[in-house]
Amino acid sequence: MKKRMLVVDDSKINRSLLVEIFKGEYDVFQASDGKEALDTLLSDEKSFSIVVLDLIMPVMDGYELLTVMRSTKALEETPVIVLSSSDDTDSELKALNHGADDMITKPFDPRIIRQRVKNIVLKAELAEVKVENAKLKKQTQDQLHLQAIMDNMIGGIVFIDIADDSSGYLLYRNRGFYELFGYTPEGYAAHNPNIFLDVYPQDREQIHTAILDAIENHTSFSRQIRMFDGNSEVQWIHIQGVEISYEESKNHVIMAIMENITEQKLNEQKIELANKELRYRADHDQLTGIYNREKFFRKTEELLREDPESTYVFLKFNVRKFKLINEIYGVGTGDSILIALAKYMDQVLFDKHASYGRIAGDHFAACVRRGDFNIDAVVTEIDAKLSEICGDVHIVVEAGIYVIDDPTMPAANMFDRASLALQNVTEDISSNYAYYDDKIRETLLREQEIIGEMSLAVEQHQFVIFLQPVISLAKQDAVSAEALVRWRHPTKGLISPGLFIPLFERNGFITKLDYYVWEEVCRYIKQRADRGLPPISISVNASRRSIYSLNICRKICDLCDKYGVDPSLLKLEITESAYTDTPAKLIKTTAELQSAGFTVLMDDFGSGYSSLNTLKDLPVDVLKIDMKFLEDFETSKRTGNIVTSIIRMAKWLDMAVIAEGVETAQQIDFLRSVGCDRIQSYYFSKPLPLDEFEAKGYGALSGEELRKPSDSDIVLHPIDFDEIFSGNAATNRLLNSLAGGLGLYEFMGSSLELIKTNSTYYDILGFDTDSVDSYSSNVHKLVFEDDVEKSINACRAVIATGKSQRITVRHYHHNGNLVYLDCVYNYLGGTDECPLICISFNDITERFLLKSKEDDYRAYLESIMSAVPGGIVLYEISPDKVRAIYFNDTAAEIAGCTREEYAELYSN
Amino acid sequence: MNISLLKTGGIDYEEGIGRFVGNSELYESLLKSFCEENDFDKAKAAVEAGDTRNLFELIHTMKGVTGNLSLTPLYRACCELTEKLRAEDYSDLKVHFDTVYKIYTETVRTISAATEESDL
Repeated sequence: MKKRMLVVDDSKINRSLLVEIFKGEYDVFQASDGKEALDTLLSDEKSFSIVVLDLIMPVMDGYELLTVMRSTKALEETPVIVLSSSDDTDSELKALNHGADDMITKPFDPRIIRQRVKNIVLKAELAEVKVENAKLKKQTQDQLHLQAIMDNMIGGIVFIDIADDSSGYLLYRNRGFYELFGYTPEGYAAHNPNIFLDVYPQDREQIHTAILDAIENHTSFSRQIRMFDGNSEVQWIHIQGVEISYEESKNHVIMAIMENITEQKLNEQKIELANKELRYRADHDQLTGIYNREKFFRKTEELLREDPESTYVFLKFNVRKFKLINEIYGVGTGDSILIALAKYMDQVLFDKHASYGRIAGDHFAACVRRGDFNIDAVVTEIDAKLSEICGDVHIVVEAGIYVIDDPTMPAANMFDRASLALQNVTEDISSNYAYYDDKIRETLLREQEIIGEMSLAVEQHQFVIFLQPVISLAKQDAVSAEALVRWRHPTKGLISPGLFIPLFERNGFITKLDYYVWEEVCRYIKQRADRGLPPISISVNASRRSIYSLNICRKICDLCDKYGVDPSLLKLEITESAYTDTPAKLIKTTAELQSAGFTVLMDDFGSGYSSLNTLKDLPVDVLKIDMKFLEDFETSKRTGNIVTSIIRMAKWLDMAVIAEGVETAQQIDFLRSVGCDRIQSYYFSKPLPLDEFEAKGYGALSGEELRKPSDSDIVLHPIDFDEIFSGNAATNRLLNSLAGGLGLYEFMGSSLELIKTNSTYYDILGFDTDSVDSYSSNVHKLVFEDDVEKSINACRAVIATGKSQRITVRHYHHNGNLVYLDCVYNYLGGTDECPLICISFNDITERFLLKSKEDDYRAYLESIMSAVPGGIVLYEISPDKVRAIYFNDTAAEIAGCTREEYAELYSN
Repeated sequence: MNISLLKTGGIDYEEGIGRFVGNSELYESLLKSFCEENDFDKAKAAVEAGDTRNLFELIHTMKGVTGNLSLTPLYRACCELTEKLRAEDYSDLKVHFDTVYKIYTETVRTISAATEESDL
């Protein structure tokens, strides 16, 4: 194609001339003035290689056109040759200043003008090429730099072609991209190039939307998404990018930078999880998963704020004797009861207008709309739920209910009110629940009153000591006394300890009162000594709280020092319930007190959930048995057996016994008969003020220590041995530690029924607990027939005389062989119909068999010797004597004496 | 066209043909069209109107055209007048212009005569 030339001249002749000159090389266009020229130029930008321009023209002259061209982007590079006259240097200069490239003077020389034009066009083209080249070169360099940077950047860089079908093909990916996703370039080539397919499905839409938004709003995007790597594992990727211009694609192209943030993300998740857990733990009870105390209270207050129109009730639940359940069935069962309760609340209350939570231990609380709430239904349902878990064990849930009359009250106070109501249930077991009412409010007020006065009462010595004597049946006098506290109120008179002791135990004031009593007692003991009265030992109570407080032993010792009281005169009474809470502390305190010389008594033994194991681990000196829990013991055989057993057991465990709560002479007779000598009872005396106590003359014989029941005191009564032995590890251990076999039997008619054995019994006879069962109703079945009569006679003899009988009895071993038993029969007691016999025995089979063999051998030898002609004498010669240890008949004959004389002769 | 006649009239025919790169036809046709299309009458009116600026432009144009057509006497006259006007020397302008115009009239006559006698 020919290059184009525009000739601009108002003279047609000049134009024709120029056309003629250039028509061979150029496509020559014409314009008669600057305006027309400009129109032509602009209508077809950049297409003219040269403009030949006359300067002086009408409408728009050459200067003007030059000015416009040079300031028009499209035309600024177009070469312009100006036509001028040779004589017109001013015009030339002016034209050059306006941006003309060259001048041609008229009239023209065609050769010169052609050359000029050619040069100018070429120059312009060259310049253009040069610029273009420079541009290209720069671009190329920039691109190379950029590429190098991108290729070597850490992290992935990609160009994504965003197509309308929501695919995103990678136009470029750097090395970092391959590293990021664990691909090789070859491996990736085989991969689907749509990068959105590598995005975790749930994250696809959000990243695609983010990219489209960025394109639409000309902004960048930044997202954290999950992507599959080369091993199809999910990685967290931070991707950010912008749209770039990319000429080779008709679609939008995104440059994106990708960074693997999996580790950071996992850490975040871990932290988030940990925070969540912490938050959860802060609000929820760990065992049951329902709200804990704090959260429940907050939730309750929220609930009441949000629904001021409705009336709500606040409940507190607990499980009756939950500690006992834990003790007997194990903590596992206890926990599953608590979990079941929480689950029940979840089921029933979850989507109601209600809040609920576990407060502590077996204490739960709930706040529900009064309309949603039916206490009888709740109690029944809970019972049903719990019996599923615990089977035959009947679990009772108790509830205290406060109908909220002041919703603005702190939830903690509502809880207190419900607790007070619940306390009433606990005290009165006829109902499972109780409402907070005026009576409770009164109690509360009365308690508040007591609390307000208690400190002053201590200061003013309003608390006074009463003494109740402990009577020795044998001596018919007090051998010790228990100090009991009374409140002699200046206006209210004598206040019963039942009104303030439980309260003080709850609010902790009991430790002060305990100490007060200890001091009063020490002071009294000293006074007695000062007044020359015989010393008497007095026991004081040490409440659970006192035992757990610091340095109880130290405090008591200090008191004794202060008043010069011998520790043997002060006794400490502890309660068994203290043991179940934290046995270790109680055991330690008891040991400390004992080693400091104090006597420790266990108060109310049998009234709580006594366990004989307690006694095994807690070696108190004296058991105080509350006889009220063993009502009718003097008439009921079974109850009587239990009392007897406890007393005997106490003796075996080296503990003295004091019986409390005894009411009748019959009961006292019974206790005397089973060897219980010490009685503390209203039957003898109620607690007395100190002066009355002295006036009655109690303690005149005192100073004597409580002694253990001695054998002579004991007249044995029928004993149910199982009551003693089953489950008592200490006794079992004792029995099992005996070297020989031991059996306890009931003797009936001619049969011996086995009740209890030790492990040696089984060792000797080859039986075990199982195999002995079929014989245990009468062990005489296992005795060698010839020896049964002998055994029966021994039983009868031992019952009749009370003296032990020793006989050898042949007994069948489990394997059928006979064993020889060296038996000692003892009578333990029991009724005429059912006497109890204890047989201890040793296996003497080997000794017995050896002896009989020896006897046989001796007889045999003797017959030979006697038949031998001539005398045979066997001498034993020691330095100072000679002794005949054997001689035959002939030897005696030879000596001329009888066998007897001979033996006499040669004994030395 | 009668070339000798043109030459007699001072027109440098050879130079003119050379400028038109040997295209005598175009040269001759442009010579003819010069006779009909030129600015000398406009220039005359400008002189009469005293419009010296317009006059300058017209004479300047004519200078280029006459030069290119190798109408040598007229070209020279135009050159002289152009310089006078550029120097804004307007003394005896009419006299001076009349001289130019006279040469123009002669040039046109020469071309016309040469054209008419072209058959010769």
